[in-house]
Order: sequence, then structure tokens, then C-alpha cells
Amino acid sequence: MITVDERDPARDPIGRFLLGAASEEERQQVEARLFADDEFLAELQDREDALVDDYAQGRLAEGDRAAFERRFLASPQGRARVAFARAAARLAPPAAPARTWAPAWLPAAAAVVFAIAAGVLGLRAVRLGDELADERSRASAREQDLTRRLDALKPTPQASSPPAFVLQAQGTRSAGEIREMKARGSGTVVLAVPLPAARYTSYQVVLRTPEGALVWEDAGLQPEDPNLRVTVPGTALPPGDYILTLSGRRRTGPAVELADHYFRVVG
Amino acid sequence: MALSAGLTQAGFELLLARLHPERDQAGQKYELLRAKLLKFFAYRGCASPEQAADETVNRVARRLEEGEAIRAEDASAYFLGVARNVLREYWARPEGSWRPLDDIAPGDLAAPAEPADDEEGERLWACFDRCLGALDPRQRELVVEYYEWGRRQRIGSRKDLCRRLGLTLNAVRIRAHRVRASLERCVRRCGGMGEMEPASVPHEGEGDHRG
Repeated sequence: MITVDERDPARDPIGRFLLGAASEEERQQVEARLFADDEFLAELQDREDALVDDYAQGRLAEGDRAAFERRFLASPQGRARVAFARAAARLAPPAAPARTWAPAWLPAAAAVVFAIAAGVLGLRAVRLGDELADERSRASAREQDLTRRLDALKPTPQASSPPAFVLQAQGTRSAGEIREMKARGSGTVVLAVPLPAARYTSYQVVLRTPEGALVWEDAGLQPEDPNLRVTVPGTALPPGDYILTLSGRRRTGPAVELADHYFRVVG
Repeated sequence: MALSAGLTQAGFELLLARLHPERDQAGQKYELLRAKLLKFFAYRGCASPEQAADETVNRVARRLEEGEAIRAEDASAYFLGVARNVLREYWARPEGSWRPLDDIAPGDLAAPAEPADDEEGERLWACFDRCLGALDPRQRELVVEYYEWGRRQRIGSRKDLCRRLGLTLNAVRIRAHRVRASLERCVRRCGGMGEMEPASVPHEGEGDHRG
């Protein structure tokens, strides 16, 4: 698995070329390969797409980020690519390898189709539907029971995870309300984010500095009671002020911003 | 297959014949060469890579019309040489409409690093959602899985994807990028960001399928 700290495109000549950080000699070598090797164009394009995605998701190191901005954000096309990649990054992660993505209109369309089919096929179809619903209900109960039993066998989170830093609900930066936590140079930090009463299918958190620089982003987080636990590398949180924005997402539709939480990391 | 601006039909025919004896193959090679030229000039900081790529193609075609022979076995190297000359000439112009990106200070950039405010971000997300939903389901699965959109960290499952599709990595790369490019075009249109063409790879090479 490639972790955030390992996303360093400037480590190889192609990465440096894409960031505009290659020497003239390296640049000419990459260009010569581009014209000599027909497959290399696709590889270069692929690396470029990955770079744009990495930037949009805050996965680039500071130096690479500055080089990227100089090269890509100078043109409307580059800015549009970043905006596109930011939108793409908001997709919820796939639940399973065989997952089939369904458009927002699909449940409604399915309901209409089902209603027409029921009308045409008559009571027989309705009965079959009832039987199917009963069977689904029994299967769901069995699955929930199994999940409860498996959960009972798992060690408690406190036994293996670092202690969570609980963020203050609706914390503000005024009047000394900011919660403070000690910096952790290595390892991970677990932030416990209070969840509002209204529940969403999944949650997204975006961590920024007060100046707006993206520090960390995570999406597709599943709700837990009473807090959402967000694990962040300790190296991503040097001393300073931070704003964590919590968003919720229902099965369809865009994410809805729910709350900002301010906190401070002290040395 | 589009003719470069200023390219004569006779010159274009000579160019195609030099690239490959069979016209279809020659046409593919021409498209690929033009895509490489666009990349070359874009990465050299040209404000108009299309204009520079056209100028390069025109020069090569003119030389062929004048009876000059391209001696190199692979014409690509010859094109690169001509492209370098075109680049040098543009840089040397006093009015210099081109400026190497490396010479631009971060403060000179036309836009801030954070381009989308919340409202704009929501609008683009809605466009993305709609455009993704309009894709063929197989294309949708391919592009989402290939680029691992929605995942915070890469899991590197591309080998599995290639195995499942029975394609080489390069073939999957090209397909995924094509879908991504068409999705980008859709989002740009929907989001009112104009009709700029995302750079794309023009064709899948032969022999991409396994077995």
C-alpha cells in the first residue's frame, strides 16, 4: 500500500519531468523516449493523471505541491483538471470489488418499473414480492446476529488503538475555546469527531490550516457512536491551528457540510 | 483525422506515405505523432501547443514536398528534431508569446491554488455525479476502479484489473484515460468551464489483447 508519506513524484526522472523539476538532460531523455516508444505516451499521461489526483487529494509533499501549482495552475486547462479531480475524489469508496455503481435516478426508476410489473402480472407477483421481502428480512436478521457475535469476539478498540482526541462540538477560534492536543511526531493520531443527530450513509472529513492549506482528507467514513474516529498520521499534524470540516453524504446526492471543529496542536 | 492548419493535401499524402505504406496505419501513426508533439510543446511551456505542433508537421511535410528524404528508420526522431527547432525559434522571438513555465514565479500565476469555493465545488460535484451516471456501466466501473476515486490511499489493484479484463497494462491505461478524458469534457461543459480539450492518447497499439 502506498501511504501519504510515500507520494513523492520528484524521486524519479518522469516525476521530475512532470513537475517541471527535471534537469535539461533528464528532460531531453524523457522527450526522446516519448518519441521513440509508442507506449510511453500512455504511461506519461497516466502519471500525469495520478499527479493531478494526488494534488487534488492533498497527497503531495510540500515541495512537489509548489512545483505542481507552478506548472498546472498557470493555465485554465490545468485548473479545470484539478477541479475535476477534486470532484472525483469525493466519490464514496467502493463497498466491495463487485460493486455496481447506480445512478441517483435508479431507485425511483426501479420503483416505477416494479409498480408497472405488479399491475401487469397481478397478485401472483405481489405474493412473490412479499415472500422475497420476508426472506430478505430473515436474512438480514441472521446477518445482524452474526455481526453481533463477531463483534463480541473482537478486542475492544481501546486495547489496540492510540487514545482518541475528542474534538469539541462546534468549537470556535474565539474566547479561548480551542481544544489543545500534544503533537505526535510519529505514529498516528485518532481524532474523535462528534456526530450530529441526523445520520448520513457516510462521512467525509477535510482538515485544513486556518490559511486554507489542505492537510488531510478522508471520505467514505462509516458512522460510529457517538463519534466518528478519524486516523491521521502524526507527521501530518505539526504544532499549529487546524480546522476539521465534517460533511455527510446520503446514498445519493452531494455531500452536505455539517460542522467545523477547531483545534490546536502544541509542541 | 484532421489536417494541420496550413498543410497541403499533397504534403499530407507524402507525410502519410512516409509514416506507413498502409493508409490506416499511417493515419494512426500521424495521430499518435501529433499527440506526442502536443505533449512535447505543452511540457515546454508553450501557450499554444496546437499551433506549434501544426508548424512542426507543416515543416516536415514541406520538406518532403521539396524532395528531402527522412533518412531515419523511425520518422519520430526526425519530428522531434524539427520540434526542437520550432521551439527554439519561438523562444527567440523578441515579442515572445511563449514563456517557459519554469520562468514563472508562483506569485505570477493567474489563479490561486484553491480554485473552487464551496458553491463551485458542489456544482462541479453535481456535474461529475451526473456525467459519471451517463457513462456506460462498464466504462464507469473501469474509470472508478482504475483511478481508485474515493479512496484516501492507493491500494494498487491495477494488476488484478488487467488480469480480469485480459488486457495489457498499457491497453488498460489508454482505455481508462479515454474514459477519464470524456468525463472531464462532460464535467467542463456542465460546469461552464469551456470546451478545452484534455490531452489524450489517441489510439491503442496493436497487440494489446492477450491470448
